[in-house]
Amino acid sequence: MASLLRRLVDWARSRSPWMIHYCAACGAVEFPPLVMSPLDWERYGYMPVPSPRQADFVAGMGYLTRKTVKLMINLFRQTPNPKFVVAGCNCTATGGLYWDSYATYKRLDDFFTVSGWVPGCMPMPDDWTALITDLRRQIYEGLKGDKLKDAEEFIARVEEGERKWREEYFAKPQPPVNYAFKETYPECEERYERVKLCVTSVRRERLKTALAELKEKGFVLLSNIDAVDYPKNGVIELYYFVENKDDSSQVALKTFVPRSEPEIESVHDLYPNALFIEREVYEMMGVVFKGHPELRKWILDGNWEGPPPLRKDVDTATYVVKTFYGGDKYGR
Amino acid sequence: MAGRYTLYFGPQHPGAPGNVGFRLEMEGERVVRAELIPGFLHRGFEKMMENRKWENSYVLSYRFCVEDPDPFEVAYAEALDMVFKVDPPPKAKYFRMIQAEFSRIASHMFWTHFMLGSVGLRTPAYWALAAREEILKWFAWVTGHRIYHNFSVPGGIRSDVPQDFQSRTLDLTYRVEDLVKDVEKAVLGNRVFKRRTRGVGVIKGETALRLGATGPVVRGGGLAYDVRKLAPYERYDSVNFEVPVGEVGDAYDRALVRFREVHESLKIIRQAAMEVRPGGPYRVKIPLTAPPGRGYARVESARGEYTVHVTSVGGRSPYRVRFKSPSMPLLTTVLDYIIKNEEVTIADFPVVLASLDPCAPDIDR
Repeated sequence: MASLLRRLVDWARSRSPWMIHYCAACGAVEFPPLVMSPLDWERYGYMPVPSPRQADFVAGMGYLTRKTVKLMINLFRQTPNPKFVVAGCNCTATGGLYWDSYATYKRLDDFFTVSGWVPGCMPMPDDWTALITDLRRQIYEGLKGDKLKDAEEFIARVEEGERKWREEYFAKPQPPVNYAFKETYPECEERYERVKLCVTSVRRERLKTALAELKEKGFVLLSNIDAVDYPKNGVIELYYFVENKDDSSQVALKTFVPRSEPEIESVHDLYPNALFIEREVYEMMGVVFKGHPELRKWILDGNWEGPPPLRKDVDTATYVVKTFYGGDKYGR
Repeated sequence: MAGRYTLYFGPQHPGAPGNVGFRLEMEGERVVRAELIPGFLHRGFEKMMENRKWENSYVLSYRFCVEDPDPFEVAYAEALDMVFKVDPPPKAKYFRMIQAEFSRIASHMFWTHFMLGSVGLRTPAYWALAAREEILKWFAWVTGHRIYHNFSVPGGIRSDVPQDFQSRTLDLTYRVEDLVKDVEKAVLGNRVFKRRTRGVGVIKGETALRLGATGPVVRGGGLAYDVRKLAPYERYDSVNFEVPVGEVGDAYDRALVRFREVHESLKIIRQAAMEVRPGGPYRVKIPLTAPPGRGYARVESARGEYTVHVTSVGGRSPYRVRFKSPSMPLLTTVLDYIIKNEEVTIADFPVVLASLDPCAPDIDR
């Protein structure tokens, strides 16, 4: 009798597999067509639920950044038993296209046991349909679902190694400055008519006055800040792209900071969005913006503990292959 | 609940625009400060592209905005055209325009689903996704894939177009137009939609531009700022289209602008499709190593101006690639401005977010 009841419960549960509504990565873009028109997954009893406490399974959809993995572990802990983990897309299985990315973990089954795989980049919607029929079978057969592996130890080990690398990196002496620079502002030194771009050079001491002048002339939009690292010359070049509100012509102000003392004045009082672009350049390139009210890790927070990854002498690809693939991937 | 408290919103939340979080400071029901928590989608594209060869790197160039990848792809192809100093055949340029405009329509339809989800109108959202599905099928037919197309390559397009390209493309524009008209009528004329969006999230065009934003947020505020008109790339100088603008700059105006833009995009596609015929040159061969120099491209994506800056020092790989993020100012400076200047309650917060139409992965890259 009891077993009959259990089978009835399993049957009922298999007819309503609910997933945590968590759009973890690019694979999630195929879910609206799956769940809504034209494929209508609700006929399988599927529903995305906002709370993990109501869910039956959690799906990894695409690449797993380190921050996302930490969150997924958290979500998985809150899901009631029996719970299932499914892995969609190639990146959850092997690292996929982002095999040399310093900010992603390569395999979902380093962290959980996994009940279903959907290959492809991105998987076609029918592949997901095959997955859900299989998941329904697994729930109906009363399988116990998936477990968490010793994930936190792995994460802590990786992050500890990166912190050590960061210390070593900043303890190293910087090469001397060997760089030819001529101030040309306000004349253009390169001009590209088709994209309406004018490149001009200015020393870093005069950068802020030059930007203030340009802003007076109508260049009110700060489009972007680019930083290019030249370890051989011992400098980091900075490009400030500003845009005119009337004819949308752009000026790229080129300047440089020595790598031994990468400091420059913040321009957030002229351009409010510089606050965030500067913060990004700081964490990626290690350029310090003086006068910035909140210079801290932002995008890399929780993703990367090592030295500024966009510096040219930080070889993240070799590091990733050594740490996550045991030193052998694509001939590296 | 009275008094100040902190509330975390997202990343696992149906109202969050993708995988980003917010730390909200609340006063009762009102949001007084919203701090963006990005990084859940960071892969480090700029570093990865330095590790790839020229001909491999463009596979990565568009993957940081899933909803609207093609303008990004076109921009990188254009920047590399500039690095290699090649001029693609006219057919390739027209095709790139068609690709980018279809992507814009698909993105706006996807946005409709997202926006209506936050307002609570589910039915037109289904219709919008059906319209998007038609475009995805067209992409699968021409390029071989639904979402990521990888069709605009440096020097032109990857392969020739199918035999019946013109007739099927024109046919699709009329089918999509019918579907979009239904959605438009059900959304813009709807009383619930008007009540939820009129006067919510007001920002003027000029202000938004000063805060770093471009695209429909600026145009909704009454400023006709569009790179396709102001600095035409590909062959946008040879087609007729208008730049729709709003008046007030609230969420409703932004919706209006996006729906009008869909019709303008269809107009562009119809004109450009006339120039794309099967046969003839479609791609210029580029050498394996690039000359030292600079590549720069500016395109109008569905979320505003997008630029890519490529630095080449010669050799087989790019030395440095830098992308602009069109969505970053939307969720930082623009959102701050809106929250400071009007009373945004927690119920309106997802509406404001959706009306800005941010693309979460393009903040992180």
